[in-house]
Amino acid sequence: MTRIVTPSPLPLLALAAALALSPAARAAGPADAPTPPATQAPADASPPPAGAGEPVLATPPALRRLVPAQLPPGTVFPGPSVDVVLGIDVSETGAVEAVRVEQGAGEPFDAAALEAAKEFTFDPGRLSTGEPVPVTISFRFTITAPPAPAVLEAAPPAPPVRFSGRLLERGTRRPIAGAAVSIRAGGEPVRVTSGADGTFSAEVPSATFTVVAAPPGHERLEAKVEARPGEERAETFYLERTGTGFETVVRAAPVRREITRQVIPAEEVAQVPGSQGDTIKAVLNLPGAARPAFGGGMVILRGSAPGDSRFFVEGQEIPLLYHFGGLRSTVNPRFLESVEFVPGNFAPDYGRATGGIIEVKLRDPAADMVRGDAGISFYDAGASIEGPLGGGWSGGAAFHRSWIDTLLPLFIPSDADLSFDTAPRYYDYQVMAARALGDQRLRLLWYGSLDRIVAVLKRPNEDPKLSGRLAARTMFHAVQARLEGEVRPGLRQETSLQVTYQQFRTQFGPEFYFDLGGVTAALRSAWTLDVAPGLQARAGVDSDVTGVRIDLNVPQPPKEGDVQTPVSTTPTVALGKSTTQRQPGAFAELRWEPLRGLAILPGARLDGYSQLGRLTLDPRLAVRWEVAPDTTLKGGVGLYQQPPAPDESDEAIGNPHLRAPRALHASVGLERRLMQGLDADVTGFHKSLSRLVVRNPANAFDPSAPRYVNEGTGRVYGLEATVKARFGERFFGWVAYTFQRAFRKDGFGRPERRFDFDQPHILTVLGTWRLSPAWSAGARFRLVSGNPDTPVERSVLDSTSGTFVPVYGAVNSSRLPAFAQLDLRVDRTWTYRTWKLALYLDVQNATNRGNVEGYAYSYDYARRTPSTGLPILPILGLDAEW
Amino acid sequence: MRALPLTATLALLLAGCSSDFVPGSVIQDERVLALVAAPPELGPPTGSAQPLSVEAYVAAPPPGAPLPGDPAAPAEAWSFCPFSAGASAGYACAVPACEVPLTPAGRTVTFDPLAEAEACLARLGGSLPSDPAQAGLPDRVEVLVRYRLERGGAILREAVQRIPVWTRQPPAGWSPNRAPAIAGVSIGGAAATPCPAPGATSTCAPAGAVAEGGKLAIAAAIDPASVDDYQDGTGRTLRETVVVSFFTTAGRFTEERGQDPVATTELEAKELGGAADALVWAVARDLRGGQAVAGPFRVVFRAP
Repeated sequence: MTRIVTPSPLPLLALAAALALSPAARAAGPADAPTPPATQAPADASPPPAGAGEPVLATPPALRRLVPAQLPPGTVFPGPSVDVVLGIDVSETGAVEAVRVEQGAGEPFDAAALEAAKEFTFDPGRLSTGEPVPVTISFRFTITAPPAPAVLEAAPPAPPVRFSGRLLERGTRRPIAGAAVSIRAGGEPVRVTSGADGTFSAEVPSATFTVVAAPPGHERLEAKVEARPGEERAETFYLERTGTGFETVVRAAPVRREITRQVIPAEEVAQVPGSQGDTIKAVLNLPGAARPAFGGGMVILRGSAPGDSRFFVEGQEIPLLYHFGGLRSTVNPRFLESVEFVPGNFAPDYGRATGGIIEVKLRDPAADMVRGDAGISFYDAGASIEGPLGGGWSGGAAFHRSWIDTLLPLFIPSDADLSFDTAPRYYDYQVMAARALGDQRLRLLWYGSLDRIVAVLKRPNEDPKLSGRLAARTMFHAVQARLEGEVRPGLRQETSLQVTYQQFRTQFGPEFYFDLGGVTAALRSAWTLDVAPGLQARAGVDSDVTGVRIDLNVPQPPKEGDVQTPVSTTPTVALGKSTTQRQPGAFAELRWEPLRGLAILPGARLDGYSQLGRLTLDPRLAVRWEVAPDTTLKGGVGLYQQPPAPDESDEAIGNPHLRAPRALHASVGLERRLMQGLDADVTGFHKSLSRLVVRNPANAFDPSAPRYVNEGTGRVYGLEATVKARFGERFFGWVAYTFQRAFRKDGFGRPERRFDFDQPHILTVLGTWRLSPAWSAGARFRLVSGNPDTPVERSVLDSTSGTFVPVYGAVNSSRLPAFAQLDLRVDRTWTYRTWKLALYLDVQNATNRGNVEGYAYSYDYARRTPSTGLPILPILGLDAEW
Repeated sequence: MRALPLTATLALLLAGCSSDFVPGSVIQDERVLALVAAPPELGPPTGSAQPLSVEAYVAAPPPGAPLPGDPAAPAEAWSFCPFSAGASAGYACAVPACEVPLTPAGRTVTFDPLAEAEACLARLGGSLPSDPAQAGLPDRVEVLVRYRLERGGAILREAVQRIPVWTRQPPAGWSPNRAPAIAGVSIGGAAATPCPAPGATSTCAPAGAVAEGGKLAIAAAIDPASVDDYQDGTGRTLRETVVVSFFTTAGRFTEERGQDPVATTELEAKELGGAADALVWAVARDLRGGQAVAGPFRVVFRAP
């Protein structure tokens, strides 16, 4: 059972609130809130925080059908109304599973409330991952005495006003359902409740009346209406959201199959400084992720090389996660529901990777009304629109385009050696449609991305082969169809098919080019069966076929651990071929719960690689044990294998006899809720790497020897600790610390060296405060060990090219100075009736610290000077949402 | 299928960004300008000797490059290695036992690389394969000629020349690479005459003059007939790009490099450090092993 925190600005306040107020008392509206006859004050829930690594409750149950309490005739009310506070267990289907009285009003009211509540229906509560979950809510049921006949008789004889109203959230136009509304016309007020679409209606005996409502979490409404007698009058009222103060309990966590899986709801980190609202960028602040080098845009998880991790959109691989240098992710955050971050020991659903995975989960487009947004920042702009399409379909589209190409020429003098034919630019888009098909959910997604740059070096560089036209274009377009849902009770399936066209073209100088174009068809289908109580089986396939055309003549591709040498001195590799590559895969896993709170998940994965002519089998095991209500022990061990890089296993430029590099992951950890709103997670891990692909030194004096061999090994170990805090809507943040060491050996008998991104200490502290509905502020501080560096000892003139070639010392034997950076962000939001406008200022490197990212050397490497990253960089952005 | 990062390309774009270092074109100590090989590449083994000569061009600030045997001159050392470990290993010899010293005549060595390679293999108990294709050898390999300037046992400067060697018969239509030729150098718009010998540079006639603070145009014309076509690794026929590097012992160039057909720059008479004149060189490279050196040319700085 996972408790979701009580929102409060600070932990102490949260604790005080929890002690001083019962859930029911906090669930109630203000003291003068009107209550309808035989109806309730609405159930509500705080937007939930991340709980000990669990997915969090994104949407609390919403009342769909209200049943009035039936009281025996002649019941005498002690006052105008009575309140019965009920505890209601709402199932994952929205049905009421159990009801109990938490704070009674005496009989017959308690019994009538219990009976009525059993007939309620809800829209189920949903986690950030979209999964419906059983939830317990506190529900205040207000039963109002029927109006006295005398009052009715005293009503004026004039024809009543037929009044209909609608309650919508100000700025977002989301309906406010289940709100108690009182219509005061001098006599006894008319009491009604808003429906699921926020509407209510009543016949009001007076032409002039006041509409009063105080839905929890929203500002109070008190609006005077002047109508003509007998008029049919309609009004829409917009109430600003003010935050909530209720408690909700998720009673059954979803199936967890990873030891460490951080689920980041999109909205939660939208205002993290330094991410410009990009959730996928924000996950790199989580423990286990190393800080990429400046401008790198790489994802380095638990000491694994960037190419060893994979990225998915709803289970299907996305070829490119970030635009240029990690500036922005290629998936618009508008349709993001959450990002799942698994730095190691991932479930057998995923394979062909020895590092970690990042999975992007999307939400369905809005089905209730047309919505949209538009935003612009220092370097890009984007817009989106979504809404109902008819026939049960909802649809949406989003688009982003950078405008660096407009700005950059302003900063480059006309006489500079470098000019741009096409300044750096990127686009990305997503088009989506979804609908229900019985118990299944169908979603169609078309998405893609394009990055392009064309520059001209007017004169030969110090590296003379780098001259003339330098062009690069990378793009992908993917179409995905996904169907998921319950096939029959106890059997659930998720199936998706994606076809991706990918192109990568680059040219630098007259000699070098790299053209790659190909189509990949990928199928993933997973089926989960409840075999018996406490026993669940999951199995599926994960296969792809790629047809690719590749033409290249490039300097030998750099590998992890390689030192940098001038392009003009690097051996070239040339290739021109068309090929088809098949990678069938299958996986299976059991979830066995022999004891309450203990889950054992043995699994295995089988992968085939046509390019290697080999099969790999990866057994995996995960264990989670809830040793106490708020404490879970976890551990796992598993084998992970992946194919070598395409150039490494190519028969012309590599070694087709390579085997799959592999990693043995082991981790053990503890999750604990320290208090409401404060969760801790500590995980220790170890990875043993073997069969790593390394250059074959024999190839230097025997060119007939294979270029690459499987003789590399490595080891990674460390500890990740996170404390996450969420106090309602007022504060969200975390402290993440990672200690990790990563080493490699480049062959038998070779010395062990540091991994390129061996960063022993990584500390991230971030938080966002909502100061008021209009203002919020955030800060992020990072303190990270400097990356390893290879010292230059002297240089040799390569007379063929006229360049000096550095002679390096031991690889990665020195280290750059530590990286420290403070980023700040302030948001101002203006909320209008039907739309919102937000302005933000995101100041990166607010202290203007010169972090050393490397060194610049003199022509002969005799002298060096530090190269520092970005100076203070204020980024102003504007977002409109309607 | 995974995309290659564009950032690699962007990083390449940013490479060579300026700093406060003294430009590489300004010679402040002994400097190897070029190792000029003749011929620049060798054909396949034919059974007969294929002699190769390599000449070192060394520059130093006035009064000029020291001559071999001069007590002030650094010691010179030449060697040959048939198996290079490549640039990433600083052009170390992959089989150190095969790196053999060469005896120069002046600043030139002449030897038969294939004979040296065979001798090395024989010492290791091997031999050159009779059928390179069957042995899995690539069409061409590179051998190394190394040149060092040393003083007091410390390496002052080290340079290598990579010599491509065909292991099998080149494809039809192949013609041996030729060194580019510098047709002429003009300084201040007039054809320039180099100083006659390295030891007489301080007395040779000026090829140009410039007032302090002024600029002097320098151009090096490449003989178009010396620019070859060649086939790259994919079989494409490309035309060589001849890159010309300029060097000076005083002042600063507006551009350190140019390319054919006429590479141009200007010598700015600034940051002279008290120098009354400067020696200027132009070094042309076809980036395939062919090189040519023109200079030194003496330029005099006048008071403004």
